[in-house]
Parts: sequence; C-alpha cells; structure tokens
Amino acid sequence: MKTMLKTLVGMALIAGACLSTPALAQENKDDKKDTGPKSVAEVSPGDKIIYQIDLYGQLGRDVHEVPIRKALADARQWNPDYLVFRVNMGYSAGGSSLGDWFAGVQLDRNAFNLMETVRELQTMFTDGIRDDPEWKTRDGKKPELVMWVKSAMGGAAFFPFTAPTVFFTSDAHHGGIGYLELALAGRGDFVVQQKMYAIRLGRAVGLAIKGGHDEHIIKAMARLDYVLSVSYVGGKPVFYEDMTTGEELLTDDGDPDAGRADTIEQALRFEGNDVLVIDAAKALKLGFAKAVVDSQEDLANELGCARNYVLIKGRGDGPIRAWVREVTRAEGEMRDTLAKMRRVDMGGQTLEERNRARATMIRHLREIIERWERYGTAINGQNVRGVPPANECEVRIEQLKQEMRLDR
Amino acid sequence: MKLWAKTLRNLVVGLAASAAILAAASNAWADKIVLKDGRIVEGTILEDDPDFVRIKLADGKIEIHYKIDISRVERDAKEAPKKPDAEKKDDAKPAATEGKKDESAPGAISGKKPEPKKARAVTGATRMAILNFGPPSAWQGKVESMVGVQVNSAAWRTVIPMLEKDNVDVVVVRVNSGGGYTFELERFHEIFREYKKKWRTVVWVESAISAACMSPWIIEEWYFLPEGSAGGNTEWSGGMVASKGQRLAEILHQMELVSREAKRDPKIMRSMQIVEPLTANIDDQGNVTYFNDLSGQYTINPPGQVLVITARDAVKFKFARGIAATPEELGKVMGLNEMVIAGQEATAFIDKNMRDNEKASQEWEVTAVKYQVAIGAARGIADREARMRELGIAKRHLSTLEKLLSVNPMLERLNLGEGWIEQQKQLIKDLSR
Repeated sequence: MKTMLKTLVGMALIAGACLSTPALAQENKDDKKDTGPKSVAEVSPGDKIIYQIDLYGQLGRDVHEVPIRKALADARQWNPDYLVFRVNMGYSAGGSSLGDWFAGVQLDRNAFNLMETVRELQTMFTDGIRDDPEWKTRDGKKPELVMWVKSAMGGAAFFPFTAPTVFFTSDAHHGGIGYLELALAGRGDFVVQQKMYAIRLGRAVGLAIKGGHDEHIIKAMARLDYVLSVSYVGGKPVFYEDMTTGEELLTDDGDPDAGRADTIEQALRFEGNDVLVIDAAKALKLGFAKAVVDSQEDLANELGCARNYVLIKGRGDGPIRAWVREVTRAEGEMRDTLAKMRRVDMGGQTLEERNRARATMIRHLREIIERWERYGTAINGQNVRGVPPANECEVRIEQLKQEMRLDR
Repeated sequence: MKLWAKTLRNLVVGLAASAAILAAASNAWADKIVLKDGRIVEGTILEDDPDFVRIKLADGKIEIHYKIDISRVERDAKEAPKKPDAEKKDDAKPAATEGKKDESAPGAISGKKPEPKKARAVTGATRMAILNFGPPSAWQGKVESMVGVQVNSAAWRTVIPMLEKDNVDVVVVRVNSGGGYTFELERFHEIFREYKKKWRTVVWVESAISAACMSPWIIEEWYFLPEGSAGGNTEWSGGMVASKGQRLAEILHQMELVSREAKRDPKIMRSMQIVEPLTANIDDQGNVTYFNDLSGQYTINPPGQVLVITARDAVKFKFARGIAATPEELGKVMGLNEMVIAGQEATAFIDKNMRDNEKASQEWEVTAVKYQVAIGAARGIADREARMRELGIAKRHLSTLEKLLSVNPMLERLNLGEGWIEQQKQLIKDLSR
C-alpha cells in the first residue's frame, strides 16, 4: 500500500452532496407529477406498469427500512411489470460529510458502514419479492428490478449493484467508495486493518454478484491498490487485473512517487483513475448500464413499452417524504427538549423545588427515549448533537430518582 | 467486534471412535461399508448417493457416511438398494458443479444441474432443517450477530432433541454473522461433530466472518448464497490489537487441526487469519492445489491482505460445492431429489434465542449501571434506613441481572467477570449489617 502524502487542501463541496443541517431531503423536481390511474383496475390489460420509487436524501436516515417497506407495500398492489428505483443520493452525512478529504484523497469513511444498510434494505426488494407469492405482475411473473442512477455516491453506490438492470442519466456519477484501505490508517495493527477491509470488500462483492454484476467494477471502485484495465471483445468488456494488458486503463495504483496519484482537481471532476468512478459513458462501455436515459419516456422506451406504459410515481415517494418529515420533526423536538433540559434549574432552594425540577428532567428524558425508540437508527447524530442516547437517559433517570430519595 | 483470547486445550485430532464393528448376526444385515480408517459398518444400505451412503444398522439406527470417508461398499446381491440415476463423481469434486467459467458472466446461481435422481428408496422427501447462525440480513439489523452473545453454542445444543424428534435428515447451518468470541469455537466444534454424526450437516453462507467462519469450519460441506462471503478470521482485541506470539501460534494451530478434520487444506484458513497470500492451481481433472505463496496460477488472496472469499471463487476453487439463493436451489445443488423443510421447532428456538439474547444484552448493560448507581450510593450512606432503601433497589437490579443470565450465561463473564454476581450478593449482605 502506497502511503498517500499530500498536503491537505481543505474541505471541498462536491456536487450532489447532502447537507448536514436538518432539512427535508432533496426531491426530484424534474419529473412529471403522477396524474395516472388510481388503481390497477383502471390500467388497460395491454399496458405495462412501471412503478417508480425515488431514493434521495440521506441513506440510513431518509432512505430507511420504514418508508421503503411502505413504498414497496404500495407498489405491490399495483402488480408492476417494472419496479424502478431512481437513485439520487450523494455522499453520506453521518459522520464525515460531503466526500471527506483525508490526506488529499476523497474518502467517505462512512460509505462501507452504510453498505450494511444497503445489504439489509435490498433484501426487501430482492428476496422479499422473490419469496412473496403475491408479488407478481398481472401476467403472473415477477417484476423486473431496475436501478436508474442519477447520483449514487458514497454509501449509495451499493444500490445500483443490487439489480441486474441499470440505467444512467447522462449526468450520472457512480462511485465515491474509494480508498477503502486508508479508512483505518493509523489505527491498530496492520493485519486487523486488512481484516476489516477484506470483510467490507467481500460483502460488497457479494452484493454485486447477487445483482448479477461483474465484481471487477466494485473492487476497482473500492481499493486504491486494485489495478484494472479492460479490452473490448465483440463490444463486451474483458477485464485484466493489471495496468498494461487491457487496451484501456481503468484504475492504476495511485503511486505518487511514480506520478500516478490523482490530483484533487481530477478527483473533484471525477477524472481521476486511482479508484473507479463511473459516468454514463463508462457505465455503458463497461456493460454496467444498459442505456443512458434522461426521461421517463426514454426509460419506458428502453424497457420496451414506450407505446403502452403507465407510470406510477409519487405514491412511492409518499412514504419517504412522510418519513423524512417525521424524522426531521423528531430531531427538532429532541434538540428542543435538550434545550429545555439545560434550562431546568436543579439547584432549587427548597426540597419541593428541587424535586419538581427532577421530575421535569425525568419527563424530558423519557421524551427523548421515546424518540430514540421510535426513530432509532434514522436519527442523524449530527442533527442531535448533545442529546444523550437512550441508555444514558435511562441511567440518568435512575440517578434522579435516587436523588429524590436521598434528598430529605 | 471483539474476540476473546484464552488459553486453549490441545485439540485431539481424528474422529471419535464409536462402536465401529457391528454384529452381522443375520443375512438381513449383509451390506458393508468399509471406511478408510479401517472401521466396518454393517447393515442395510438405504441410499447410495454420489456423495454419501445411508445405512440402517442392526439396532435400527440410521447412519450417514460420506463417500470421502469410504474405502469401499460391499453389498449383498439380494439386498441391493435402488440407486439414484446420477453418475458417481470423484470424491474430490463437489456434488454440484461450479458455475460458468467465464468470469465476466453474471453470477451463475446453480451451475450445472445434477443428473435426475430417483426418489429416496424408503422415506420419501429429504427433511431439511435450516438453522440461522446469526440473523439474516432480512431482519434489518434489529438483532446483532455476535458469536458468544446472540449466537451461542448452548442454544444449538438445546435443539438437538428437537431435530431428532422431527426426524430431520439434513441440517443447514445458515451463517450470517460478523464474528465474535473465540471461546465459543471449541464448543461449536464439539456440537457440530455431534450434528455430523446424526445428520448430513452443511453450511450455507450469507456472511461468515471471523468466529462465525471458524465455528462451522469443522463441517466439510459448504454452500454459498450468491452474495456470500467468508473469512477475515484475524483474532484481535481491544483497540484493534491482533493476537501475537504464543496466542497467535495457538489459534493458528487449532484451526489447522480443524481444517484437517474437515478435510480442507489448512492453507485456506491460514490465509484468512494472517496476512498470507493464497494461490492455487487447477489441474485437468479439476483438482485444486493451494499455496501460501505466489507460485499458483490463480491468485485467491494477494500479498498484504487477509482472505475473505466470495461465492464465485469459493466454487471455482472447490471450497464450496455450489451456490444457491433459496432453500429449493440449495436442495438441488446438494443433489436432493425431493426436499421438505423440517425442524421448524428448532429453527424457531434458535431465532427466538437470538432475539432474547439481543434484549438481554441491551438490558444487561443498562441494568448493570443502574445497579452501580444504587450500590454506590448505599456505600456512602451512614443512615441505615436510607442505606437499606438503596440496597433494596440494588438487590432488585441484581436479581434482574441474574435472570438475564438464564438467557445467556456468558453475559456475566463477558461484561463483568465470572463470579461478579456472587461477589455483589456478598457485598449487599455486608452493607446490610
């Protein structure tokens, strides 16, 4: 592993990144509003049903089990022929945001943590649909899973690997999970670091295999020291794990001493080749994407149903939008409650005053516990800084009760 | 993810000897299986599968012996059982062949299909129990997968009678765990030895990491889900500190012995535990030879890395016998003609045990601190009445902790040290005076 020694230039905003301040997640405003039929019964028998679910915002917070499950439940009753996930998510905001920069390389340390979220979520629309006998098209088949990528950076990069049929928008980018082997640099023993990297990459490769994709692509996205070149035989890519055999170099070893390390400018523009970030053209060439589509009409055309399709959209977003509002509201309430707790005067002159303050504090702590229990992992820690976790709240309640007993 | 370092006992190599030679008192028990270790098993052969033979002994007990252990089979001409139509395969080859050789092809699931077989001679469909070694990803992360906590050997021992009662033929150990405590390894090895004696026992991997890879390592027959991965078995503790010196030598040796018992090349496990390359040659017959250096034709684990093997490579290099996404596919790649899911009671017990352990683990953490709050205050209170009030609360919390131990006896040892509860009971007694 070559040590990357570059002067830190500073944090840079990456296009498509999420904001860490609490806000409703970005929606895809460029799509048509759904004005179609209200139920599957209104759809002509010859029409194909495309059900679209937009994945946007923060993975693990906005894109979460609860709204995805609700969206899929709605989709199910439409018996769609195609279940399309439109992916428009940037780098993670949990922890290191905006495409973290470490020694001058673009390292999203949270990406592979969020891979676990994708591993879990995808079971709902892969195995879940496969194993549910009621999930079927009107022809009695299983719906085709489609990933339509606009931005899949950081942890979201794992989503496109979970479906065999992938389309890119013309301005799409997919990757941002690189430099895995720098993520734990400086921590612990080398062999344990390598263990952690291997586990993560192994699971990522597993996702790609399950989705029917070539594992070379995800490996090249993840590790700096993974070199990959490609030739095209009959239009199909043939990969080589070296820098010279293939006619096109996809990723080199990023050796700064050999002048092969990407510059920050290259990384910002997705023009580097230390690790693989693919755009629409590359996705097509590498056989990862079937086509480039920028509109729903183009999508329907590529799916072979341009003349006779019905798009169901919006309903799939409803649960996500509602969930985002709920979580955002909960985070706000938790911050408010924290502020209230800080204003409680615990040093009252009389026993009654002190116990009243303690009772108030206990009530606030219970409110926080209730929020944690309800929204759990969806809560963005950065949005609720200072709010104690649920088990700390419980212990604090115990201490307050004890103070009430002993303060006589 | 922490692994618990401890001193190991010596692991005894070889299969436990059992009553090897059975009386052949009557002509009804004329079939014989001659094992490679010299034992002879006599009885009536019920099924002669490409990979194993089922034989009914004189006492009515049914045993399964894998072809890899068998030297030869001798049959009484009158009693020859119906054989499945599948042609016999080389013992070294997996029951289901590997997927497509073109590495750029999308994931082939089952590879070549086995030849169609006739239905089982005596008892119909194979009864397959699937037990979860760690919560599947479909559980959405609601339950952790620590070996020694949520996944514990005690539960797997408890379900043995349930599996027997349900006349299970095959037990599938479905693994999805990121590892845990190495103190559970030997216990799981013992338990899985018992399983193997009773049933055809296989591993089916979603993610088998570290202790979750090492625990079922003693089972010979492995399959992968398409997303499956296994390895990353470096033992560590504290702040990502790897085991070294004597401890490292012990754990490497332990797993070497387990590898041999499972008839698996120890080089594979070695490459999963330390930074050691793994390469391989594949000859014209498909036999795989491994190397812990770069001399092999294929690189499975490059230098400077720890091995985690994924499904395609696992099948290509004959580590796994096949890839299966569903139980039905698994049955097919295992060469089962008909299969039914059985052992539901055992499956439910294991799943509930994981959930209960999750709750117990979380509750333990909080309750232990609450106990400390109460006992800490009690220690500093001179007034007896007030002190007894706090001791009463401390006792209540201690009682909760004790109840949680009935879910997982290891909670005390893992978190506070063995014997801690008894010490605290004594402390409460002393403070009550």
